[in-house]
Amino acid sequence: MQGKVQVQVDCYRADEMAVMLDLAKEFGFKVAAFHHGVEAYKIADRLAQEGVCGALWADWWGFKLEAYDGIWENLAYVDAPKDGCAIVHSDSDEGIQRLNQEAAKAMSRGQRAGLDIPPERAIRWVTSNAAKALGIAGRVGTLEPGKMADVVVWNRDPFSVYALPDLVYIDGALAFDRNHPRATPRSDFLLGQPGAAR
Amino acid sequence: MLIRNARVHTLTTQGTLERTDVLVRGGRVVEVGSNLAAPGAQVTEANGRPLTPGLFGGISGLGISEIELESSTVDRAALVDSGASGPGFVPRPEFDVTQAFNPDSAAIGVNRAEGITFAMIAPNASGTLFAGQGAVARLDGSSNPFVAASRTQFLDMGTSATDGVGFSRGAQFMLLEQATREALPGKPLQAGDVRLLTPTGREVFARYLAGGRMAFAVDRAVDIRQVLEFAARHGVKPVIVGGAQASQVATLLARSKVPVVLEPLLALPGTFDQLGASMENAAQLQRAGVPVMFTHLSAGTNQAHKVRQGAGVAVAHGLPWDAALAALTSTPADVFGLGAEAGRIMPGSPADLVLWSGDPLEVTSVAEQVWIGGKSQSMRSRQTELRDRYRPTGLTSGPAAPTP
Repeated sequence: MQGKVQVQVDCYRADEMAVMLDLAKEFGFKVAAFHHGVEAYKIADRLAQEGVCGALWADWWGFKLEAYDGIWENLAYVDAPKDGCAIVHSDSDEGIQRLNQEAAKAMSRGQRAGLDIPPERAIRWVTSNAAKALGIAGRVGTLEPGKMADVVVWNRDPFSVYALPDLVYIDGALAFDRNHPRATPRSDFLLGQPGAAR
Repeated sequence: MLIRNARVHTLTTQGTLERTDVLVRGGRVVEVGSNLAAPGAQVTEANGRPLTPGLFGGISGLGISEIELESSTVDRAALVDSGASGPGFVPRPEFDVTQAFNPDSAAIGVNRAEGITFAMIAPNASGTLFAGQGAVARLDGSSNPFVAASRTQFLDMGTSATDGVGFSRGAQFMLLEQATREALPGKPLQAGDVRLLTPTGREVFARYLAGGRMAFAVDRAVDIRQVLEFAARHGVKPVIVGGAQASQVATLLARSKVPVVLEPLLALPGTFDQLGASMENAAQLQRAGVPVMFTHLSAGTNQAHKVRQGAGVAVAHGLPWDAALAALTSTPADVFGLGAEAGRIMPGSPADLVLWSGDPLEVTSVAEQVWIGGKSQSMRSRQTELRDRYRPTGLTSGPAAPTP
């Protein structure tokens, strides 16, 4: 509430997000992002006006009632207004492995809905917009002098289902090399387990 | 109906045909070729876009589960008698989930517009081992869209069923053998015998033992071996669902021609049964000669369409592209008895077709038109209604509105 820590709010429905924004106004704190935000597209203009990001799924919907109104265009609609800020969300061990594909799906659906979304904008949904919502945009989220050297080299256009990361650097150090598995971190858990030798 | 100038993925020995026409009459494909003439036919210009058979939505709760966490909309399990376990628990292999199928489910409309035209509508055992009967539905909106030959008995083995049924895989196989002995002819029950099944259950289970199809939800390699031994002992046609460790027994599966329905996005050991789970599972099984199909287990029924993305990921991890498309079309058609021409585009095929905006396995591609039985399906759904209601102002319509 003192603004020292970014406030992240898990919220699905548009009306509940609106109530939370009212609450934030009443008590003088700022919401950095709504997470899950399946109905964020219904209040995209208000989120943009108040500088609130939406950390959203590309296509998860309907697994519970609050998620029944999910649409493919959620990210694109939230991103569309001036100052709109969409982030690809994942709290799934499966989805988080392929955030590039999630962004690609959302970009494609937004384009088909008539929005002009070049890939250099959609890539922000998995990079700089996330950094902004986390309050670390000064250090990560873009490739520019002064930023930390967290870099992915892809084997092709990352907005493709066939794309794989070749090299991943964190703080300038090689953290993953697809062609040299020995450079790839392996968990303690899998050591010595059947089928885990690679 | 004539679809003109498409890139036709036939799923036959003809492979992919460029600039090809597909003529449909009476709900079936009658001709595939160049410059086909059909006076009076309704024509769809494909302009070189890809045309595939309709896709298989995997092992699914479509039509029997609208919102998974809203129990009033879910009909996947029969937990009658004394609940899922404990004394008095009576397994119900006679439970037939197709009787609960709702063709008007919004989840069907959403998935159909994504190119899913058929799916195995399956019960969910909720830990009771004997899940019951399912069947393949063609998602054409009719109230009984089930293919009789596709009927399958579903069994939950391994970790997932352990809590409900005896706390041991050994107990699962014990109960399965007991049910089998009860159901088999020639071993009449005596008064006072402890019976596992109801009379109807015995009758129904017996049908599956006489060369019927049973799908076993099982991940661990050694459990797959046990399942195959059970199936061989009793003349059952097994299908493995899940099969996280299936590639470890690929040779055995290939030799017995046992198909696997797997989750291509699975790459982490969510359970001890899934140690060694890898996105190369599909490629390794296919290389060994195992019939592979895809399902989407992790995010529930509403995203059955995510099998398409999974197929693309499998390609990125070594599965040949043609094999990935077969896993979504001709393989499930073959495995579940939909007919020799089903899941393909050839004379005699049911005209269940999808015209795509681009590579059908690519995440940026979308289904532009879906036909089932030659009938053009609505590309609108509850989701497109919401999309259009909340479309940002200044945009009247997308650049690529679907053909009416």
